[in-house]
Amino acid sequence: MRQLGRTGSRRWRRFGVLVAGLGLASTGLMVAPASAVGTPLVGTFTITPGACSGGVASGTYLRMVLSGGTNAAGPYFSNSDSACSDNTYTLLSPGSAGGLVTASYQPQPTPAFDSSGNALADQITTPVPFEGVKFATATNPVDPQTGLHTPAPSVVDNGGALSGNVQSFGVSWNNQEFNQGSPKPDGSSPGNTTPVTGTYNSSTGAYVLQWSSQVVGGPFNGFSAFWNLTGRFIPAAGTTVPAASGSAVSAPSAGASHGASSSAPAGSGRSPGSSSSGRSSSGSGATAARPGSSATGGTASTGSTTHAPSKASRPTTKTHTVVSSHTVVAGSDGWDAPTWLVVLVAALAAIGLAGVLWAERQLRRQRTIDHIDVKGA
Amino acid sequence: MIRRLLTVAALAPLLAITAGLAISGPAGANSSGRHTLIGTFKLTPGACFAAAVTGTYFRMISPNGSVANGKYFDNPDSTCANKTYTLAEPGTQGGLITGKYQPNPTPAFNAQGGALADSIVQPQSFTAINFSIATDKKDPQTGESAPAPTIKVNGGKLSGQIEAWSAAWNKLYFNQGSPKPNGSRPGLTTPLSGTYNSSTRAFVLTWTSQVVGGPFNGFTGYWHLAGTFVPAR
Repeated sequence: MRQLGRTGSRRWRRFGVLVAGLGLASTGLMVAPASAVGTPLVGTFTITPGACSGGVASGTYLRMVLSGGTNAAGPYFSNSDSACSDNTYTLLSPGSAGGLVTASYQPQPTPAFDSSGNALADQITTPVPFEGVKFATATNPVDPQTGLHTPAPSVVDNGGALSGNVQSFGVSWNNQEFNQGSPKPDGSSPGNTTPVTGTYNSSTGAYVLQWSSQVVGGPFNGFSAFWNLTGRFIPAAGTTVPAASGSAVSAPSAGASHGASSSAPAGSGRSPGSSSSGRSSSGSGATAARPGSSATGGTASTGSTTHAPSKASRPTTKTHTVVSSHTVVAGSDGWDAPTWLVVLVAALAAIGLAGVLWAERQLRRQRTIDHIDVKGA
Repeated sequence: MIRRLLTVAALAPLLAITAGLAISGPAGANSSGRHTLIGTFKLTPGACFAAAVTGTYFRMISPNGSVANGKYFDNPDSTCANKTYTLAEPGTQGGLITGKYQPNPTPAFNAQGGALADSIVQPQSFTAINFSIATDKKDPQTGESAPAPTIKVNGGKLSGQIEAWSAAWNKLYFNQGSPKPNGSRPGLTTPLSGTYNSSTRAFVLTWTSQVVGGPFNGFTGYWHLAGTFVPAR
């Protein structure tokens, strides 16, 4: 009987250990992959102007997908003002700030439009005609379309792969506002909205950032836009960025080299359809001046291929030594476990631990009884 | 008795004129050559032959553009090589009826925002969303009252008003009348004009109407209706 009790306790202990172990492991697995450790890139993602060649766009551009369409197959909205033979590409050029600034906002001015409905925001991109009316981009602390508060843009480098948050990214056109962030200001990713992905070459600073954002509400409800930003990342003054040699390189003073990016050749261009991997070639042959240098005459080529990157064409990822920055947990890569599942597995783990403790207690009690019995005998 | 005869004699010319008007009414021409065409302007479907476009169609002009030079809005769903043309097909009533309304149904849109009105023209895809046409007593965009369409012919030339003409798309309404419901003709809005062959009753009606307010403020629709007029009975 005692033997049976002892065996039962052992079984309980084994079961408890198993459950606890599985629970803890599962909890860890659920949290860990979704929380890739990365390095925030704080500074300016200077923009390489868009360009077209043979019907293929490169550099920085926008493509609008019609309601019910897909990023891969369209149908796409034709912009009669496009400079490309394929009017579905709208080319973008850098604004007064050179491009997209992370960790701070680049809000639209007041007023945001002229009397003809042309948008006036010109920091990120230069206003560009879209069906006869200029549209512009901005990042505002309060999204003008939804009225919701949004964080400043953030982009994280994780071994050459970019992820991030551009919730505050918005477009203004013809006296209207369209949030074009990912995720949306409420945290959702409706329809064709896809996460911010991209590549970063720490040696050259060359980057590609891509995302899609579906318009929610308003006259273009259900339409979505695919954004392809390429250029070079310039760290903010006082910060450092990963360097090719592994040593930190100091950032230039503010505004030192924004203008240089506009002279760079077109970067990588890829159709949304090939974005399933979320990453594109950044061209291993890039010869851009390092971020942090003056970049004058730098050729921040990120390649011009339109295919998904092969392993060989991935950016050469160097050691990411960051002095002034800090490591953060980015939840954009991997699987985000639902809260209920995390709670359930944690509860199982707790039950398992309780089982182990209980089994241990039972074993000790049994041993004590056995000891007394031996003494009594 | 004599008084009655005198009265009848006095009214006779008036009665004769009235009778004459009634007889010649819908499609015929009165002595002055100008009269109202009451009936249905049956639409010939739009068609494309290389660069030539015939029949009934629509084009949208970007702000600051012109009818002559555009720029015109591309509709990727156009079946023409030139995507700036959106072709139309006659609706269940064959086309535009004058003297009365052809209102939007209730609901006017499906869940995807596609317009459902189908009396004048069949809903057509415009950037992946069906748009359609209706004439409502109360203009759905402005909320203003609009008279039923009237078209007159004078020496083979058409004129009139089509204030109630309204396009519906993606759960939005755009008045596309000329003049607008308040009687104005803003921007590129031009009067309704066209030709009419009294022998064959073949007609062509054209006008432009600038969108006022809303998301496409400043854009202008160019309407080209062609077909055969069928007088009301």
